[in-house]
Amino acid sequence: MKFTIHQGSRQGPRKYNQDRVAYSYSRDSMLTVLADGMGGHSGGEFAAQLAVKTLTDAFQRMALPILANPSKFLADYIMQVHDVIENHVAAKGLIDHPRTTIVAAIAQNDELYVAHVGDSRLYHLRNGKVISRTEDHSKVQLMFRRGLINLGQMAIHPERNKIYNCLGGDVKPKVELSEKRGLRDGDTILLCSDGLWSLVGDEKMAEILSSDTVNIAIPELLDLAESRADSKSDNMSAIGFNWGGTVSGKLSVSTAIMPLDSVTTILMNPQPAGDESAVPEAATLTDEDIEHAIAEIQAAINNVRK
Amino acid sequence: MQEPESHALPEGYRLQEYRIEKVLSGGGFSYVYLARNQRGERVAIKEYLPIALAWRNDGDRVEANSPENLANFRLGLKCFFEEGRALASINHTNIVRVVNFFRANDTVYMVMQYERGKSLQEYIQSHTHPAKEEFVRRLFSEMLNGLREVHARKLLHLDIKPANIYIRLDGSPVLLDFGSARQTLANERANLPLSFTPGFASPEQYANRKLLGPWSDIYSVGASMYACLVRASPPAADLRQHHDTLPPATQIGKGIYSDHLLQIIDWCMKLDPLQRPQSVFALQKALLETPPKDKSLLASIKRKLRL
Repeated sequence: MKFTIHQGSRQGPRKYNQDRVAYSYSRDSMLTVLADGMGGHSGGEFAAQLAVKTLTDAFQRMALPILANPSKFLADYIMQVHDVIENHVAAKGLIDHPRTTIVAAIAQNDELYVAHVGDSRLYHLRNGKVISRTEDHSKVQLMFRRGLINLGQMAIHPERNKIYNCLGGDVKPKVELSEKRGLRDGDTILLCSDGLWSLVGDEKMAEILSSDTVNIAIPELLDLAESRADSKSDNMSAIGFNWGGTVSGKLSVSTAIMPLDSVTTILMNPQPAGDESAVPEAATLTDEDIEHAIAEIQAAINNVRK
Repeated sequence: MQEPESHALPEGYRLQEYRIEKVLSGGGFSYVYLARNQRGERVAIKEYLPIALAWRNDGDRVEANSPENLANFRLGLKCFFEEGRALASINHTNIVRVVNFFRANDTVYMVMQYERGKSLQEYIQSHTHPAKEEFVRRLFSEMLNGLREVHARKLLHLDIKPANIYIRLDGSPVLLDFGSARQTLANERANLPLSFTPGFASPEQYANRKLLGPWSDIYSVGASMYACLVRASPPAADLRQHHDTLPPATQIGKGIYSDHLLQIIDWCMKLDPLQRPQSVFALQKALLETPPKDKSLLASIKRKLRL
């Protein structure tokens, strides 16, 4: 299995980042997941973190090296997130329910299985075009379906952020499982939160994603969304991958050498905005510093040997 | 499907005075190769190549995979140095030995002694019964000798798990992979993706990294002993904090290990760092105590008959 993957998250103007993204892969299967938490600061983060962790943990236990039934896996563990939140609410007597959306995809055997709850989306692109995307569980989407509003009105409707289906809410969620889809070499999959898609239209999204591999295109998408954000905007997050060998011949991950029972998981911990002090310092690591560090280590090795 | 194109250095590749034989592990922050030096001795070579941040370009050189990731790639390099520094200064039979460290292909390499044997994880998986109590006590108390040495240098391992505890052919343990040790030394706010092993990482590794201490490695030691008992990973610590589904060892291990050892395991796996053994020494002492003799007649007969 070969793919190039990238994930990123920007806090935007919000005080907290309640989006969570993660991926996990074995030799022959890959999970990508994104959750957008709601319900007070700690609640939303708790719910979103729980969602990505529950799925990645289960994936690590079960994808050895493939999942026997990816759709059932997604349905079961997404419902488990809801149940755990419900128990947590009951045990702590919480008034404000931690809630989260979720969108998750399993890629294995050149097939893609998708499940979602809420308005976090998955886009499937081929040859520069969006060939499918998930439909939001939002109030405006329902109104659109019923013919009450048109696409243009959807984008500016005052209640466009309202969703009727989420994990952790009072109402039992409905996990929407999309039909299994074929994955071809060169296809691009993107999962993103509403903070991103609401600021970058589908066309622009397709244009940027088809211009380069995800490690370049996703930061570009996030940059664009950030530049368009205003004081009411949301956290912006995305995770995506290019399937198979890439156009440029460069590649991030080949799982060919992974043992059958091993799984790699990368969870992204959000970084508070404005807190980038670590990066400039590291960037100044010069060739001289590197030579110096190596000399020190060499000296330590020789000292110990004596 | 196309021919799988690996990111790793190919077999037969000459890397300074070494010749690469095969890839031992990959993914995450580095590749580890089996190689031979000029005298034909086997070594393990770890190459810094964080797959989330870098790739190998058309030559052999390693470069950041996007301008955005360049700073993080360099930050990770700093951490790789910390691991090298930590290990180079330790000469202990239960800690993997670093024999060389050099720069090539625009990245850095750490050469370690290659040990023959298998990991505790492989050992657990190859048996259909829990490891024997005597084995667990001996293996872990020996391994803790090495961990004491690490803690004495104000370092934490932070990724102790059965896959990182190697058992040599003579049965002695070696603690491997200090790749996470950096996390205490590097800037806390570093934007590197954290890579840890759910089930073995302590709760403070997820939530409040200011609380990290020797007790965090001790949690992982407890979880590794727990894995010897149940032959599976325990549930992740952050989930335990919200909803603890971990059955106490004293409950599910009854009759398999002595109550004394089971209590030690539960003690190590307390969610509150303060309630765990506070030092490796305290834990070692407990492990080396002989369990109080079971006074029942049946048990003493069984013991005499070695049943």
